[in-house]
Amino acid sequence: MSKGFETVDKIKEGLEEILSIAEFFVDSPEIKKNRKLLKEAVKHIEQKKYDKVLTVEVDEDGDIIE
Amino acid sequence: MKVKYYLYYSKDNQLYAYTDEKSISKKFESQRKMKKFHKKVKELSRDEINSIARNFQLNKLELKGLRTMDNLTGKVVECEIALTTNELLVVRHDSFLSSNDIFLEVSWDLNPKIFKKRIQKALRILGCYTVMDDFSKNIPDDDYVVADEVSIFIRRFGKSMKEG
Repeated sequence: MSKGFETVDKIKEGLEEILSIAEFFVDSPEIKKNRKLLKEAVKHIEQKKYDKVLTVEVDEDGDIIE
Repeated sequence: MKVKYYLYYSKDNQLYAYTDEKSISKKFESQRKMKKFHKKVKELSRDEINSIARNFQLNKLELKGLRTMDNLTGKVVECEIALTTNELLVVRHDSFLSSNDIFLEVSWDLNPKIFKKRIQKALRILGCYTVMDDFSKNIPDDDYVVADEVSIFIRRFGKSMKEG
């Protein structure tokens, strides 16, 4: 399948970009909860705990394995 | 016949806002840091009013209800703010981008299946539903995002606002 990403760095950048836009959303409990979840996803990627976020494998260079 | 106008100039003497309605001018002054503006009250002729309307269309003040969240009830409410047409257009533009077209702003191509299910759901709830239709049937409509227009306004124009 076409994943649209090349590296986990790009995934992380994309998630951070979504989070920066989501800062403008009304703070409903649902939005807060899911914003927090995405922030945790970014942390997991930084900590190389990719299996908590992604369904695909990542090599030691941070590249998605096709 | 002349009409009384309330004119607000920024520190660099540019016309920032104006109105001919006293109630709107009072609201504006109650919400803004007035040390950032010079106020002038003028009786304007028809020609002068036409000139202002033509050249400063975006600076006209109006009262608008901007959406925000009531933290006590958790419901979306409207907060009445005196703002210029220009300020309103900026808020509406940012609000539109935030709530409807999030992925026009995100520069990469998304395939949601790369993420675990709970991340997919979070992305959808935060505005990514347009590209994640497979999941929409599991999420009630009232989960769709509503941009907090008051937050947007404060981020964009907060320097001119009174605190509290």
